[in-house]
Amino acid sequence: MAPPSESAGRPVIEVRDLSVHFALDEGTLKAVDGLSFAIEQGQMFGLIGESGCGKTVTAQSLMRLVPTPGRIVQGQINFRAEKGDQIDLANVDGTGQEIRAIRGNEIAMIFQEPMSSLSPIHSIGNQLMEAVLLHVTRSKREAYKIALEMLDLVGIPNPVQRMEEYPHHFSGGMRQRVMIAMALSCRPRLLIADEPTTALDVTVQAQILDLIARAQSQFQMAVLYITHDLGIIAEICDQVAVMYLGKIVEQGSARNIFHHPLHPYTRRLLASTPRIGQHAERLQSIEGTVPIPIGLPRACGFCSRCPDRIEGTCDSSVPALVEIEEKHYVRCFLHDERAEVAS
Amino acid sequence: MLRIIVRRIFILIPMLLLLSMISFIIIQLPPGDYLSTYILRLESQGLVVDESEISRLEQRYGLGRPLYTQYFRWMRNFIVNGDLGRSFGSYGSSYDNKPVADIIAERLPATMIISIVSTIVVWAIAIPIGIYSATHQYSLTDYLSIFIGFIGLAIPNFLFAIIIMWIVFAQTGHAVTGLFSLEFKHAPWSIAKVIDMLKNVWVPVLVLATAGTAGLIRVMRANLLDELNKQYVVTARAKGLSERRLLWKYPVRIAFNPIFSTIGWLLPAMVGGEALVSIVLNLQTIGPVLLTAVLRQDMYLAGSIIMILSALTLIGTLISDIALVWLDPRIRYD
Repeated sequence: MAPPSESAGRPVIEVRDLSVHFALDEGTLKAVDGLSFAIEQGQMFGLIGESGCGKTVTAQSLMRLVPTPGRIVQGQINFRAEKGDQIDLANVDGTGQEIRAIRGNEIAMIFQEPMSSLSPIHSIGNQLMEAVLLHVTRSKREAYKIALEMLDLVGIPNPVQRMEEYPHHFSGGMRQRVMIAMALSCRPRLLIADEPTTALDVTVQAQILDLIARAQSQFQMAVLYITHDLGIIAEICDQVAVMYLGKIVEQGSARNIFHHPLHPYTRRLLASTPRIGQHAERLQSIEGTVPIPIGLPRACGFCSRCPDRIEGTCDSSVPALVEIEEKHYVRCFLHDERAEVAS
Repeated sequence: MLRIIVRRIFILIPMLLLLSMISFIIIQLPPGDYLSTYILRLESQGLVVDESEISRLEQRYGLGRPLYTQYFRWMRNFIVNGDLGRSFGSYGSSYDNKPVADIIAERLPATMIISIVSTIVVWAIAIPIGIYSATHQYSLTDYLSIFIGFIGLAIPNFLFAIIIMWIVFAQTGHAVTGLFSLEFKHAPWSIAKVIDMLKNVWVPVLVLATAGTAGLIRVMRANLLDELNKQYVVTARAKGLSERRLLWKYPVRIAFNPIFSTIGWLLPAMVGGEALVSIVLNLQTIGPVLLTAVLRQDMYLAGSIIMILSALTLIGTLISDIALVWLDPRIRYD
């Protein structure tokens, strides 16, 4: 049922039927529940959803950084390494040599909180050179050169002096630039950006976004861009997946998703975004809150909040992700009556 | 960095002066002065008071003069001659009428040795256990270390000292009392004396370290648990660093800082804590002397000990501050 990925090039990463569960005292929390997607080289893939829909856990699983008690319970994360051989990251030792050789090297990540993402007591240069020394070269001089180039690339003025400084000398936007420099320093094939602009103010957001977009086209990376901000997705993404309760509910090209949304959730998400030039008495919001994914009945996750739900259908079975139009997938009984087979 | 250190040392000087004044006020607090007590004592023993001796002492300590003159005399005697006054010591103790400076000089090294050695032992045991406990939170080993730690914290030191003395004596017939065996007690320092001390010093060190270890395990565990969940640890992990390397480079380093800031308190805490242990184990340390000096209103002795200990505390704080400035760039102001 996964969206096929044989389209243009071969995907850098292909996630198949991934489930990540957290064993809590209250029960099993299904943070990611049967997720499938693929990202090709040079593609900017946007993953969008409300807080708690499983976006961050998805990103963490690709790096095998899911915090305890979270566990990948099923699925594959097929990553095509530089040498061309394919590794299933879901089935390697989470702290082992194999994943560590990929982390920071072939897959790099930028985090949401630039203020706390850097160690306060190590110099920028020290932290920047670390991954380079680990993956690229053993020579400190060479690592220093690469780190310097990267600081320059992300637009940090006076990089020689900045290398000696500490995070508290940097503003939030500058720290996020350092994080980007760090992520790019080993020329990753896949860059995961987990809400990298959420903690920044709007003018800085635009600069960081621009920086990521430029870096992507320069290095021809695959980028997984995670956000809850539709504006960002519209601006930079090629492919978009809308996530709700650990599942993709709609996936397609950014154009399709924005101009021709099919899932009621996507439609409401778009309606809740204010538009310039459109007068509104009050902003639309989606009724209700995201349920906590513990012990939920077999039903469409959006059922309780959906104004268009079909009684007797939506609340008793889970719709399957179906290709409604070309390369446009939706998980909704309004568009296709096929249900997901109980596993 | 150098500027901060120089500035801190300059701040230390007025602090030390203030400290000496407060100590002197403490000395002067009880009614009467050293001389009147001395004369009273001699008279009560039916001895003739030597007038020339009295006037010599009066001259030396400025007795009978205004308080500030007495203070300046006391400070001058201390700075120039290392003289802090004399102990009243009228109760037949080993420090009868001895110069205060001699008593302190005799006992301070042993106190500091025990304090420093037990601190090293505490750190060497508590820090690895604390790190293990934090990285294996809620594991059986974690609970076990907490349990043993609390027992160590709960047993009164003096009781623990008595139990160890009893066990050692019952098993080997060797009485662990005092820091030195009889033949070395008054001998000058030598390698043989140090070896002899090592045979005895482990008992007070063990006793004092048990309580300290329990506390420090808790502190280290809590500090590290705070750091382990910070984002920068995930960043380091996302670079591909191995767990062990990132643990030592980032969270452990940062969790150390609050512990370094307590170096300054070690000595006074030890002097307070070891007094009972020293009495039980018959150790020649500062704690018991301070206790008896205060009980007997032996004010030159008590005041001077307080001054020296406070001065050492200030210096300890200075050392820990410099260590922190060196360890944590956030503290260096530009």
